[in-house]
Amino acid sequence: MSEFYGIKIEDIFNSMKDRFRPEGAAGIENTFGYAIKGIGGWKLTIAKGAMAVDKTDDLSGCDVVLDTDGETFVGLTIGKVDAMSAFTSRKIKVKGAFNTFGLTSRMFHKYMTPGQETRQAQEMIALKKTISVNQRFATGPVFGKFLKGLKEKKILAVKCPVCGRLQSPPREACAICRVRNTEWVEIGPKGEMRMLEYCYYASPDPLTGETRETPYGAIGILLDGCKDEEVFWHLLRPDQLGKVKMGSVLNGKVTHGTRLRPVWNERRTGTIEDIKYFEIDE
Amino acid sequence: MKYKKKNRNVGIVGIGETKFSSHREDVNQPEMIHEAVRQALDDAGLKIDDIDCVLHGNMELFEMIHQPDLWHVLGTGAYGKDSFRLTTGGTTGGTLVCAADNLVASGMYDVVMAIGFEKLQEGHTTGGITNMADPLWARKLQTGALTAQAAVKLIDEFGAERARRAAMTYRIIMDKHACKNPNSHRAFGLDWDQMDDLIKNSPPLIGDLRLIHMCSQSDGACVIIFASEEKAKQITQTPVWIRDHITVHREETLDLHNNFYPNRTTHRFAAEQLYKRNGIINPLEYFDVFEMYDPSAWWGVDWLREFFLLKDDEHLKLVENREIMIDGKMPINPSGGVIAANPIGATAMVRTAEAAKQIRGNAGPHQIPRPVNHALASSFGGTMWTVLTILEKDLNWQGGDHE
Repeated sequence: MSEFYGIKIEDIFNSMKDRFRPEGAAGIENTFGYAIKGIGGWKLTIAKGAMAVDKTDDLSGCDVVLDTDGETFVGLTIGKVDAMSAFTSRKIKVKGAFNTFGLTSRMFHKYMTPGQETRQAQEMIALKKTISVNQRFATGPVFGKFLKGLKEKKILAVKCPVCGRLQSPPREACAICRVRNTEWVEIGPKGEMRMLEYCYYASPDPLTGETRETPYGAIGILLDGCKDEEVFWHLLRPDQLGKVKMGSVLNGKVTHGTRLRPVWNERRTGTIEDIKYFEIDE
Repeated sequence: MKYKKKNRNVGIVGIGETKFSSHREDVNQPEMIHEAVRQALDDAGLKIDDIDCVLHGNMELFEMIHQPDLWHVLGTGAYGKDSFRLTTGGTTGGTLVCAADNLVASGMYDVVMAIGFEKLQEGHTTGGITNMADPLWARKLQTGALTAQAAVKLIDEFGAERARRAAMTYRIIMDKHACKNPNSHRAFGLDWDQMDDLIKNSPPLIGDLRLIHMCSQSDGACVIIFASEEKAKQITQTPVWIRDHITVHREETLDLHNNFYPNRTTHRFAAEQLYKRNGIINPLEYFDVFEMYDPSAWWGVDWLREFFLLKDDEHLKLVENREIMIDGKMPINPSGGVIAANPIGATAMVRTAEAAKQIRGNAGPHQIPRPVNHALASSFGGTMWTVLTILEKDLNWQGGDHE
């Protein structure tokens, strides 16, 4: 029996069933391991809106495992310990995608010690809302021409008639020279990598709730025919994340990055997704 | 760039800041705002009847409430008063300061109260920022304000070892400052012996940008009251004067994803213009404190070079020699900065509020231990948007290059 802040660790796990919120677990299919130092292990399984928690020291099959000590775990549960501070001071370690653990907060009602409700002067009620909005954006004739090009496996850019810079995706005007961009050129489709954003953070869209698969690479590609800062922003083939090199221009010194080529979708509809991603051009 | 001399001087006469925190579930939005409004009025010794005009600002996308100033009138006291609402992303608080200054300087109002707030726990910050991106292309690619580009550039230019140590040195200094500021949301008590461990083990967000480098998502509000020179001198013994401010933004940028230096940033452009027209030759010598909008430790290090118009590795040396500490040559963010607390719509205003408190000499435990006469405050937002503000203790500056 292990007690911290006057709370038994076993009570936190044993009360999970009563605190479970099926609506918070909708669409989640994960196993979470809790390895509490010197005390033991628990395995939480969430599937099809239902949960099961088992005391077991074998957490090898879990998607993510939270490794911590009893005091920190209880502190986190009752809000005495800040998760970020605990992370930073290495009091908690997570094996697997650490973002996944964030899901547990909405799957359970807050743990309350017996009698806590009566001690509170007034219950603080928070209202939960989810917004879902359908949107439809006009692309206009300039951006529309570019998107039509993608359907034909062409990457088009506009050229400023004054400063000569290329922009792709195209812009109706050069904001710097304040003139309409009237000339079109075809660029790429191959090029070299100039910037890799190696993303571990699972970024969600608050309007759709859609979360990106991680890790992924958002990249800047200097397509053939472009120069200096005229990069094209897209994605890298996820399994090639560790195999590419960034090029650069630093004080006039050019270093070349990995050569890349686009992988086109079979079915193209005139969106950013007509290019699946860029991959190494071997 | 055309720029006219101010019609009349404007002083800061009242400041209010709530405690910043990840969870203010004990109060709703108007109640939280009211805490800062009450504090600012008390600080100035004014009543709400003394306020001629109220400015209100935050980012709607974060809490998903449009025209929140209607609900918030209960906390702002704006009922029946002239009132404006502003929203310019991360710069919102800085823009509020500029607008309040312009409204008073113009002669339209004598006393203006500006309110910046955010309750980020009530929405989704990274999702909200991602939805600021162009929906035709960039929304699919952007990850809120998370980016490792500054890290990539610093590592390419100065090598991984030196760049990573400089960013973590900056981070630890900010935490040491945050630990002195009772309003901080995050103050860990980091120390130098944790440097190697943090560089290696803090969870990565994007590339070399790790959780420890990045700013928090906070709840909180900030209020500043501005008055004309005549009124300011009646209201307080210690008005802080807004000498000048500049706003620079550029097109929505899809081509930031390069690795190209030197590139012309809005920060450097704004700094060059502002110093030139105010006759400030050496900003590093002139200013006594800089409250910078530093969304991550990497950006903080990189931007020192831009704001102070430095060359080569001068910015790294400032950090490495710990000259940016509260008792150093150029104290940066004695408040702990944005990494310590980031209620976005208030954040940029907190930079001006904290810089003004340093000049007044009543910042609290994080007061700089020597006189502060000239202060600089910056704001950052959008894909590159800069607001830069100069504050002065005395009304004695020389004209500079005005039309």
